[in-house]
Amino acid sequence: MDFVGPGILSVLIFLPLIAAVIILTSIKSDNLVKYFALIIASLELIISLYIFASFDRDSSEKFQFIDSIYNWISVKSFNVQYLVGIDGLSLPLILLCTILIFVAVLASWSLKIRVREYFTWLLVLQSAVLGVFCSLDLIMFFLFWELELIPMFFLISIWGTGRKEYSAMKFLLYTLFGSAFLLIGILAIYFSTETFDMTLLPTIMKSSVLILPATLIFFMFLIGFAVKLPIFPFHTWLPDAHTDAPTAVSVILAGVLLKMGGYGILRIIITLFNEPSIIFAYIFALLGVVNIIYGALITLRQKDLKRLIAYSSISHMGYVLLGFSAIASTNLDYVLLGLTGASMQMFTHGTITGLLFLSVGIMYDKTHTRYIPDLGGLSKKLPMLTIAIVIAGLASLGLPSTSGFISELLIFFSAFNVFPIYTIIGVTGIVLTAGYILWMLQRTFFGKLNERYESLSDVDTLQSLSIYLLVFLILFVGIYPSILTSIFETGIINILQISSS
Amino acid sequence: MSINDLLIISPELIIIIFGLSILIIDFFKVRKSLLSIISILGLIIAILALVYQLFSDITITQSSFLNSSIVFDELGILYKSIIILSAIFVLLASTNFTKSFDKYTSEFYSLILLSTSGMMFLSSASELILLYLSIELTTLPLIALCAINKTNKSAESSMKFLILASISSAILLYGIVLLYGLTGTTDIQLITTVLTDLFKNGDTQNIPISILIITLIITGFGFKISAVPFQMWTPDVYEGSPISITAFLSVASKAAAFAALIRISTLIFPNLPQEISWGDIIAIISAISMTIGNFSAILQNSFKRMMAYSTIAHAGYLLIAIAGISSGVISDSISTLSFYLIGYSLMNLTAFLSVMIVLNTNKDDSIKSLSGLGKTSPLIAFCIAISMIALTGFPPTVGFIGKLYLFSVGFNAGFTWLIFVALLNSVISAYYYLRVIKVMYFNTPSKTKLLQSDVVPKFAIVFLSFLIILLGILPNPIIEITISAAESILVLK
Repeated sequence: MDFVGPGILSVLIFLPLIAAVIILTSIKSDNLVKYFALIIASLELIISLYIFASFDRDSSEKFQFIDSIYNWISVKSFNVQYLVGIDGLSLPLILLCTILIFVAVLASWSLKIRVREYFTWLLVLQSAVLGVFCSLDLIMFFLFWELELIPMFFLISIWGTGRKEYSAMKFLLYTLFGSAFLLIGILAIYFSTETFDMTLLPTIMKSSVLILPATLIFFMFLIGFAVKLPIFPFHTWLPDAHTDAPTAVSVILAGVLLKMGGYGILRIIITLFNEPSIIFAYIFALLGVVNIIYGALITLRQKDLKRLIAYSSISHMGYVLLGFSAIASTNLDYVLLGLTGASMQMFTHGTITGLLFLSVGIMYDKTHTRYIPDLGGLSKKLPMLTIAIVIAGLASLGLPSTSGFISELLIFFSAFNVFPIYTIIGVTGIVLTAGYILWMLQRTFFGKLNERYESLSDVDTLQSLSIYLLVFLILFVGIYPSILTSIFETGIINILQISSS
Repeated sequence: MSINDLLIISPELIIIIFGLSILIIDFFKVRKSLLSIISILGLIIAILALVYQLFSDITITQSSFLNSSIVFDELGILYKSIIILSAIFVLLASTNFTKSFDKYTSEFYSLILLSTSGMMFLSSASELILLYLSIELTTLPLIALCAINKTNKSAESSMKFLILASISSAILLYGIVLLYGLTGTTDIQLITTVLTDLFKNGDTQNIPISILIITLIITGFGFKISAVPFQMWTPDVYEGSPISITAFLSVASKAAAFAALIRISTLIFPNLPQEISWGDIIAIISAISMTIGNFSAILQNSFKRMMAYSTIAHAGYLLIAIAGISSGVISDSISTLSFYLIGYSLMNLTAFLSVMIVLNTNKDDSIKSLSGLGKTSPLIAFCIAISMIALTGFPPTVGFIGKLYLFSVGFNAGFTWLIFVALLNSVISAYYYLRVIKVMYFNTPSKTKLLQSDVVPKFAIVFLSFLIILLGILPNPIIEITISAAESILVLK
């Protein structure tokens, strides 16, 4: 541990932000901007891998790599500190973020319009998301949570397609609406405990009287995170935003930003409001099942490829919720399994959906349409891309030896002990998933080739690099899941020990 | 009258002297730019005088004639600094504007300086008659300034302003008169003690008149800070006035009015009978102001009208802090109000002044005319974007910290429902603030001819935007200043 100097997390968070300022102020050439952004994204990836390698899995400390400035805002009634640190829960998500941003930079290589601004916003976005996963102070958490909106708003509404401005505004207003509830919850916690410090809160919360009923605060937070995850009925922004965003941004949006919601539920709701979480675990289960089935049914009917993947994300986030419902189990092992499974699902969904969006984006650049009836037989012209999308599709429906299998297995296994009926309904979601994935593959990549696409060429080196990376992750985690589950487990154990010891 | 007294009012005196001498200098047919330099110089000297006051050990002695009418505390100094600085920025950015009219250049500068001095008196007035007089000294030059373009619209707005300002002053004066009738004095300090004695024994006989006093004073100030339902004049006046005056009106005069309102609500209102829950009245006005302000702003096509409604909404946010005073969280409330007001001044000045230097708003001030500004004038568009993002309350700007601090204090004061309304309002406001950004960056450039601007106004705006970000990242020093200012008023209490 000695060799990791203090401050490496701060470097990780603020390097992209500083790079963004440099791009905006001093780099004029578009090509240079791309290379610079790529260097920064690679550096971030290396730093996060380094942190991943040097993370002490047996440490007795709850949080590692802690970095803090005690009095960022020191007012008697409003004491905010800069405090970042990670545990087993946030570490894989940080890794996911740096990987997907790296992929996103590669995926944006052919961008031609307003390149400088684009990469500026992309890097600001990375800072904000990493900040959310690293913050251990509620206000810092909220700050980064809000900071992420501005780059997304610009990225969708300038470089998007279709009704991009409408979608960007919808995304922004929905999330802001959720943040309003979030902030009330944060303030309620603060004025009950007089601290924003998430490392101290679990112990302090137990001994302090809340100024609002715990149930009320619980639901405040739940609504806040429900918009982000998204949970039915707060999901309507998602298909619009995903469909109209540019490829790289869809990858990040589905891959990382949705996870902020799940992360928030684990880090704040389940950690700090353990009892209400147990009492209302059936709500997690119920909403989870609604998400799974409703999302899958709507997915079946989609004719736009991106919209199809977007709705499948809603369905997959339902599994995460179902995993959370295992908190109600009296057997701690099942709780542990369920929450680990849910966290795994967040990671695997990030890589799988990232790959799906990436492949569809590459395909769209060649065919200029995402409308399924217009496509068909593309496997003849795009074999590499087809393999990638087939692997992602199969992982998405939970085929053994892919990462999707592991997380769904863990979730169903543990949720079944608590809510058998919900779980049984939820499992049928897999059938539906198989339905829409295979049907989509069949209509798009197999069958008769449309004559229009005779002259298509397969993916280039740059694109295949990011495809290889994601395919590798999907298969590697599928075959050797404990590389992640063991880390997630330490994080979940922390959360549970903190809250129920 | 001693030298001490003169020192205490020296910043105001300096500004009045400069304001009057500009009129005289103008007889000598000097260049216009000289007038602007002189007036800015006057304001800077006044700032230096304030700094001197802060570090000197002058105190108000019992024998001085100012004894009862002027307080000398950090709160006053803070608000005076806000007022003078916003006047400086308005003048710095107005150099192009003043070139556009042939006559009345000296009057423009002189009236702004006189109004500034009125605002400064207002923020340290501790005697109700002086308070009333400084409101008049603030308002009358502003009314004339509104009409300085001499267009129909300008004249109409000026007339509206005149009538409504007079009515509101009359209402306020009536409240003051009743307070005098109740207590027999106009000195705020004395009123505090007299009221405490009066209602010590649960006197119920004077409750109706107390209610009337509170209502009249709140109404009077409601007009000045343009809170709903006393906001009707704001959009028309903002739209009709030249934009630099609109900026000045929306920032400096608001700061002064809030300084006076802080004193009254800290020193007078709490000593009236406890049965009157004036905090709730303020909270309701606050909630209505933000809701109506934000919803109306969505519908506007004119930039100035949109900002006028945004100002109304922000008056609502600021009133949260006044409501906070009513529930006893006094020091924090005053501190957060001052901090938010500083942030608000930066954001509003940036927004107005940036638009002023690129557009001829007298011809066309529609939001559409900003189309494509991100391409045609990237620097200014960037500054406008920062101010809009800050007004919405996004990090890392002073708007975010300000709102957070404000809502936190309001929550602490027990107005949970009000904070909830305020948060939902922030969501609504995002729609129209970001629409400005959308128009600037996503639309194709409009055919509106852009104004060419000097370096100085541009520099002023870039500096303001820089401050917006800086205070969003390092708010602590300013927050500490506002806290010590808030505590300075509590010493008196």
